[in-house]
Amino acid sequence: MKRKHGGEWPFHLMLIPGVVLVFIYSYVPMAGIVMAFKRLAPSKGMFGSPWVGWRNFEYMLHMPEISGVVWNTVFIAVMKMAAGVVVPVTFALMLNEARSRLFKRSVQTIIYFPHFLSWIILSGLLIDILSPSTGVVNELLRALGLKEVYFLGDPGWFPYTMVLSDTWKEFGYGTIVYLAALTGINPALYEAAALDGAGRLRQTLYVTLPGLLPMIILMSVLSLGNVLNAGFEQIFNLYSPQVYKTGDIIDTLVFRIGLENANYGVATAVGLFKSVVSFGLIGISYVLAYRWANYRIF
Amino acid sequence: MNNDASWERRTFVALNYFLMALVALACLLPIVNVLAISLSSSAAVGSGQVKLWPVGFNLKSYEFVLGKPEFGRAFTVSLLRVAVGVPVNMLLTILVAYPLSKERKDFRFRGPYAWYFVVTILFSGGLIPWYMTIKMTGIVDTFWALILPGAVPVMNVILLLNFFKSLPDEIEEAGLMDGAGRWQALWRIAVPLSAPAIATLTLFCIVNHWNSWFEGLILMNRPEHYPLQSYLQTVIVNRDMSLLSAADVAKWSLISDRTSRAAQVIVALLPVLLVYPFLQKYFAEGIVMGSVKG
Amino acid sequence: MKRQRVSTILLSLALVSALAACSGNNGNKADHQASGSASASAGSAGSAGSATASGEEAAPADPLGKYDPPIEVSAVRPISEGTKFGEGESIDDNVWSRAYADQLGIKINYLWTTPAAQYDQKLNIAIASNDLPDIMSVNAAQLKRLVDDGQVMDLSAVYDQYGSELTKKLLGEDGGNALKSGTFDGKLYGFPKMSSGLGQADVLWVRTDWLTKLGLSEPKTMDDVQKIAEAFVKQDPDGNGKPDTYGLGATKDIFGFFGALEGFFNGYHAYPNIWVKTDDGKLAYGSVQPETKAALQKLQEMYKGGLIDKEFGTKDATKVKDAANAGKLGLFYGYFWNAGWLLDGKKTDAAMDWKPISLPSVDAEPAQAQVPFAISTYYVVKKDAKHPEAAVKLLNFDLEKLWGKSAEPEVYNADKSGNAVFEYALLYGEAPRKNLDAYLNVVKALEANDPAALNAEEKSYYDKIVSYRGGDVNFWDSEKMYGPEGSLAVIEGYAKDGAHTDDAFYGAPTQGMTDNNATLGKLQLEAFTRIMMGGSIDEFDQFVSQWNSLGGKAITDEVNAWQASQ
Repeated sequence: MKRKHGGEWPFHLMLIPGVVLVFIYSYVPMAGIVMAFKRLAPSKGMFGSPWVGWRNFEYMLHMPEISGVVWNTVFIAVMKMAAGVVVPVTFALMLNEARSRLFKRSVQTIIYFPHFLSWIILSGLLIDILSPSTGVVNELLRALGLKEVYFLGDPGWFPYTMVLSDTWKEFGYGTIVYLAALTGINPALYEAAALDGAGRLRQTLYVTLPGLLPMIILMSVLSLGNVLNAGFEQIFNLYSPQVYKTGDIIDTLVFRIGLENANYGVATAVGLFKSVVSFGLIGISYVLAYRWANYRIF
Repeated sequence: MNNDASWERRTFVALNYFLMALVALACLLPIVNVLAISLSSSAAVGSGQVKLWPVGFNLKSYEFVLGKPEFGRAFTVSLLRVAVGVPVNMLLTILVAYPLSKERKDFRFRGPYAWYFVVTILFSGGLIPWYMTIKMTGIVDTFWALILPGAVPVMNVILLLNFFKSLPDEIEEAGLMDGAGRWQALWRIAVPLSAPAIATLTLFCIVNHWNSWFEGLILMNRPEHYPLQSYLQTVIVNRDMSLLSAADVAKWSLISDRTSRAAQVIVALLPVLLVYPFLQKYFAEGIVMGSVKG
Repeated sequence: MKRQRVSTILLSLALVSALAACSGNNGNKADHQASGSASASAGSAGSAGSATASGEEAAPADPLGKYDPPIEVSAVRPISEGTKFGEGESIDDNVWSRAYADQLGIKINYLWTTPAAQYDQKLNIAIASNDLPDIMSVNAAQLKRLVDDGQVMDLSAVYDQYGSELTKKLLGEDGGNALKSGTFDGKLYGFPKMSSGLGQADVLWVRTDWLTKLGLSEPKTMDDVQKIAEAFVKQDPDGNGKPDTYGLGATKDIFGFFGALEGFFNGYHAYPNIWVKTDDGKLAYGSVQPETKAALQKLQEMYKGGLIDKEFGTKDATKVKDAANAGKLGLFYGYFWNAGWLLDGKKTDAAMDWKPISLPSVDAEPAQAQVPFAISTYYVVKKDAKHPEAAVKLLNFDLEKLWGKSAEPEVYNADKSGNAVFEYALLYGEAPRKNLDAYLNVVKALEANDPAALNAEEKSYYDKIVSYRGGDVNFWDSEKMYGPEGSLAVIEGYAKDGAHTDDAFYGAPTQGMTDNNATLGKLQLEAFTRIMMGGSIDEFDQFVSQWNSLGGKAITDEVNAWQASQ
């Protein structure tokens, strides 16, 4: 049969344009990774610049606050990753239960809004509404008889505030993928389940959720690449000295170092470090998904 | 369906609607706030009176924004970018995703190819080598600098290849039996069957092209060539005020005007919101796939 | 992936946009060799350049001599936001570019231009990829990197040979520190863009209508400042019956330009963030001196007493500005031009009135305003540029047409339709006293009711003040800056009485600074914030010892070594 359809040649042909473009614009620049082991002297070019061995990595590891910063990064990033899967899936399921098409559509459109507001605009807004004295959120808390919370100024709260606000901003956009996946579930399965006497809850548990599972696994695995990305733009616009202890992350630290020093070497080293960690995680989860679930992600 | 009448079910449905409405409201308010600011007088905004309803309603900021030649020019660049960039993205996504969705037995090299693309999500050489490469290919300060470097959205490829994989093999095999080649199988069978996925990814590509600002700033040599978001970035983002001289102050008070910044956000948001409902149709209703599969 | 890519790009952006200082690390040998040989070759290239120039040009050392045939030099530049061009004009074709071509025989080829805010980022990429134009403007850190890496040319010879009298006078007007800061190993690599350091000194802005309402007089001492802050919090100055007003404005950065506390520290004779001479003649960092501790203690007391916004730690300058404009804040320290930021409030509430006041002091000794080093921009020439002297000629020409005997302000400064055409000039510099002189002249003209003696820029301030006095509130800020009781009058007072302390260090960033400033800056901000918000005052001593051990001590030694070499 293979030969009949031109063998594998059509596949190679289809891939050529993509392979070429990716080679030029992704692989050629990757040569720049050597900068992690060099000190850039622009007049000598990237390859003529002097080697410095592991010094850029040592520099990174010897910063006094590094361990706390790595912990903050992973803590915030992992919570965001978890929320970034759980919330959109839950919301997609909730939407799936809604019957009114108009309602469904309006809600879908609305939850998609915050994605389009930049953190610069949102940070101004969040500082207002989260203010302990004048903010709406705290007025609400007080009305409910609760104590006000200094969301952005209390080091204990800060990481959670970051996770919550990021989730709020992005979950609508994240829901889109799952909604599309829902359309792929065979209606016959629901009918069969209904015939077996399964209620809506059981249908959701035994038909919808398994149907979404491949997409959930896929998105989770891909999000692992972000385990060291806690969200630079957001935190940079919202943190302050009083929450450095729990809010300072790798990217903001590197930014401040960059502020004093055009150290491309260190920047590249940090980037490489993050890439290797993400690559490792994605590689492991790829293998695990294949071994255990017999599911190949890509 | 027969359980629909039970009170548990009814409570659940009511609660469900209520929760969703609540969440939607939480997502809606900030944009309403921005909208209200854009329609208010700058004095009212400056004194912090504007919350959700315009105070001192006027359209001056929109006149100001739309009257600026830079805005119109940048808007055109962005439209063109979407018009060319999205088809390029989608074509390449489809062409790459399809072969990679095949099993090893049909396509021996799918593994190496897949990793070839996935690696680029994770590793990059950094900004300087990226810039130097693009410069080397001679497209800096041209329209193509906004299109070619990101022409293959690998993340989208992975999503699409998973959709392709979930298609029932029988349909395609039947097609192949009928004498269709791989190309026909792709365009006549796989693509139409994946309409929801393709609509979703198209939306992602539109949003991505429309919203990205960084490339424009770095790769264009004149502010006149900036796409809309790059231009907005230069207007909206807070500047380092300490660099301002006394002479700049008068000018600054003009651009710091929060009402016009808000108006620009709203205007920039409009095109995507207009496109959204059209694409939404495909992934809001599970008809397309279901009908084929069922 | 989207998020991943965006954030990698953002990170690189962050890095690049912030890039400052040389990347030379810890005395790498190759580094030394590189800069050594590079500066040697730059030196010879420079002299070769001027040699050819003197050999070939008709009038070799004429500061404004015309090239015939015309030459082309490449450049890059920022274009400040709001710059307007006349009909059909652009950065490539305007009154300045035509004058360069007609009078100097120089055509400027702009490789790229950006809005001012994006300039550093784009230039850093150009520097890193060694893709430089003949002439460009750089900041101090970029200058040092370019010199260390041998990417720019020694301009000493061409400056001596071609620099006009006016250029040399203006660039040397601050006593030579500006030129010294562009000089490395005795070679001049960057022409300083002259400006005023005093423009970055604090004044105390206070709402006089509130003072009147509460029967208070203007603050003379730090005690007064505290009392006024207390009255503004507790006596309901806005009369709405609610305790919703703040005392003293402060931002999360503590220091800055609006709601900044430098002026407060100065009231305690403390000078955070700048280098000061101690009694034994050595240089020391102001942030770690005992006076700073005293000021912090007072701030803590005020914070505890509710005289500083409980949430100042999350508010930036624009938030403080909004509070002031909304009539919630009536007392803060800031720069002279802050009046422009208060205009919105004045427009909303005509009763609102602000007055800039010179810094009150804690004791009988008058306060001295701290003044950072004035020069933040330098003009440099690429190492292998063919015509380095063209940069000097352009500078001569620009300064001459703006401030010289043959100056034509109505042609080169602001045109008839009010476009700020001076923005089109490639190189720029203004007398450090320009704004102060403008204030003096405007006031004189106002008294005499005769603007005839004013230059175009001064005339515009004069006109605005006249319209404000005629009832147009839109120009209230001009009165508050250039008027007889304006902020520049206060600054002029500092200058006249010598009531300012200048940053004693104006060299290029030292190695220790490049390596450790990020850490030290965070340490300071964190410690100061904690102390202000009620931490133990002993944390200050802890901060000082940490500061010293994390590199501050080494930087102090470097700075003193620099001073010894001056």
